[in-house]
Amino acid sequence: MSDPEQFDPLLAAHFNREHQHLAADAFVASVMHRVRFQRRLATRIHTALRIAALLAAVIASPWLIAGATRLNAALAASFTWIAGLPGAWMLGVLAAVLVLAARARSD
Amino acid sequence: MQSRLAVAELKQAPDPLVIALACTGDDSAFAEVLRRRQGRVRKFMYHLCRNTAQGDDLAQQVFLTAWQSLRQLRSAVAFDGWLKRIMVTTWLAEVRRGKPSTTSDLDPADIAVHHDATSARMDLDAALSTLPPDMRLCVVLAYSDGLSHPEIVALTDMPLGTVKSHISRGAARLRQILADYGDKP
Repeated sequence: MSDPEQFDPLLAAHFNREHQHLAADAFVASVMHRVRFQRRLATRIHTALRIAALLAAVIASPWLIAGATRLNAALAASFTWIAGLPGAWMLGVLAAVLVLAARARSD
Repeated sequence: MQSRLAVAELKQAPDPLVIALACTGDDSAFAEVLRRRQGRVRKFMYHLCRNTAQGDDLAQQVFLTAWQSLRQLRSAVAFDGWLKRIMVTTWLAEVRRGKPSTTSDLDPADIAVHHDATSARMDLDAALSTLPPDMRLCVVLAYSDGLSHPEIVALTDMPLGTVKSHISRGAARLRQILADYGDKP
């Protein structure tokens, strides 16, 4: 106790008396049983989630393939445009703006 | 997980080693930690709820929470303080749910038959049950666990003045009730 003036040693003696015997083995077995149950449950939930994710990927695969094809086409078109004169001008202007903005911020 | 030490070796091993092994997911090491700490946790919970079955149930919750969060423990040396915080949090959650028992499962007839250490313990348990839950918690932490006021503040998040007042008024009330029983420690 940090405040010895308030501390009552007679009352503390009451608390320090031998408490009723608490059998350890049954309690430990019971907690470990619950621990093993929780672990099995967590493993099952993890497995179920992985199966669900796999099934979702299989079911959604036609849309995923179509989406990937569209994305591929869109990227190819944008790279073609960037490689041309208008795209190169646009990139140059963008780079200049970024450099000016960085200089303004450092000042 | 398979234990790295045999059960006999675990029983001889020092606390920090057993706790460190438990933190790696070693079930046998956790069972050994459980065996070493169960008496303290159950006694603490029993003082607070005065019912062996409910006290054991709360103590089981404490150890389950500890098992689930063991990986968050940074140092084996900090285990006891960390466990104490789980004990207090579990009790406060029980109080918030409005479920703490005030009914003892001990036989009151024992008191009339003999006035020995058992009945004195029952006197203390009965006297403790008359205190409000927050006051009971502060008194048990101070007198049963020997914690200082700042340590109780850190564990319970109550203001220092409230903790001091709870301990002072709670101890006075316990003294009065125990004197009425005619019990001398």
